[in-house]
Amino acid sequence: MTLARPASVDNRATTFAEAAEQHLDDVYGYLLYLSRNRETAEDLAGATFEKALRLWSRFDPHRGSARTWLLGIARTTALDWFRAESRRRRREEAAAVPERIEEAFGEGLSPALEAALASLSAGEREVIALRVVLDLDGDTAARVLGISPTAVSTRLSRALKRLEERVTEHDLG
Amino acid sequence: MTSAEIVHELRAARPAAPYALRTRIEAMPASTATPRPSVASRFLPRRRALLVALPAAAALAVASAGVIGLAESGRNDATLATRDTTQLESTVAPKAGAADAAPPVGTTAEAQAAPGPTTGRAQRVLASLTIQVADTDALSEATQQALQTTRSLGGYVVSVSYATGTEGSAALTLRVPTAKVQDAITRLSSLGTIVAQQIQIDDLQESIDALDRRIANLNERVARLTAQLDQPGLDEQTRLTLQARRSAARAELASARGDRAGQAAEARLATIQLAIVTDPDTSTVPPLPSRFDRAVDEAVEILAWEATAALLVLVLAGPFVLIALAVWWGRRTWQRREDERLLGTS
Repeated sequence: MTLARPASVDNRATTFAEAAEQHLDDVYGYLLYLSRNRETAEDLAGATFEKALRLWSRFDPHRGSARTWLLGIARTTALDWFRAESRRRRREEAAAVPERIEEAFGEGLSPALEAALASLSAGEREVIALRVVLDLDGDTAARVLGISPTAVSTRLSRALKRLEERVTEHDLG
Repeated sequence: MTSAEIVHELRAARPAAPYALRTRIEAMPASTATPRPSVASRFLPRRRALLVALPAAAALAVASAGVIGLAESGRNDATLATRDTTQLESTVAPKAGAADAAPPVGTTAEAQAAPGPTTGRAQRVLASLTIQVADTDALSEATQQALQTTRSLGGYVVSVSYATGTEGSAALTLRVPTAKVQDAITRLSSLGTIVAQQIQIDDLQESIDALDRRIANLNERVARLTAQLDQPGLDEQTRLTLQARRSAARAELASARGDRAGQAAEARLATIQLAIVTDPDTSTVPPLPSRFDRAVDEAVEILAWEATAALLVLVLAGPFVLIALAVWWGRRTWQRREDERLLGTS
């Protein structure tokens, strides 16, 4: 199985290998924006595809594309990780100041934008990742997030506004 | 930096999966499983399927009710045919207590063959006849015709009692010449359906003959007494005795003649007690419904049954379903809020 980054998104995948090949970058990018950590994103992406492999026979193409399905699994996996991380952080906060690792979201991002992205919440980064970076339409993003398209639009608008403010602050400061 | 520039930069710097991750995914065993979506979801998404399910169930209920109604209405044809026959039989059947004294009823007047008086003999004829007609209109017409028939046969009407309401009845006492009583009964029977009929014939000839003989004896006795009184030389006492005997014989003769005349008159005119009644059964039986009406009735009946069953299921299962939905909705809402809180603080 050779995995290469596809030139364009193709939702006609009929096998798991094809789906993984087509949507690996999307899943990884989404998880990177959520976790802000490359290693974590890699681990979560790996866990996502392992889970997807087990559940592949239950995938229903008529209810959504493979990308939406994979992103849904990725989100569930990430939320589980966030919960575990939250519990771990609470335990560590009692003993010492938690370590905060911040890494680049992607190659070629300006330091201002990197810093601005890092200052957003995971929820805000999530909607930016889905709607802007992965270029999902509103309905698909809403399905992944489990909210209405209107809520997605509102959340994206606020996130972009906040991002713009943070970038401006960074440039001025 | 504007939002457009930010979006442009974010898209230009879209993250790519590192080589190590690609290798890791590549190393995963190839799945031989193929997606097997359910047949229902292949055609309808789950929410749309739910929206379609209710109208489809309703349509199915109506269609099944229609089909069963049509089938049942066809099957009921035989039942209704039986009902027609039964209804006809009940219309013409003699009423209880009338059969013993009456010939078979409910048929044509000619078939009745009511017994008539013997020609040449003096007989007292008493006929009792009950005729059934459909409704009060027919009752009025039959009553009028009975009166006309009586008069046309040379008879007369003794009494008439006519009453109408939800059910109508008329009671007539008619006298017609005995020689024409059979004709009268035949014509009166044709006014409707015979429910009961009774004819009583008493022979008066012997009684009249006896009266005739008695009258003759009394005549002879009066003549003999008159002849004795006409003899000369009777003493006063004997004359008085004979005159008393003759007076008694004459009184007895007059009485016998009266009796004879009365019996002759009775034999000359027959009495007919005619009762005309409306039929409550036939007048209230509604017209038989068409097959379409029966099918609709059956379908409505089945729909009502289905609705009752659905209501019963709803009443029994509704609370549990509502509780389950509330639990599911509450849990989902709580989970989403937790997710939002988690993502908002991370």
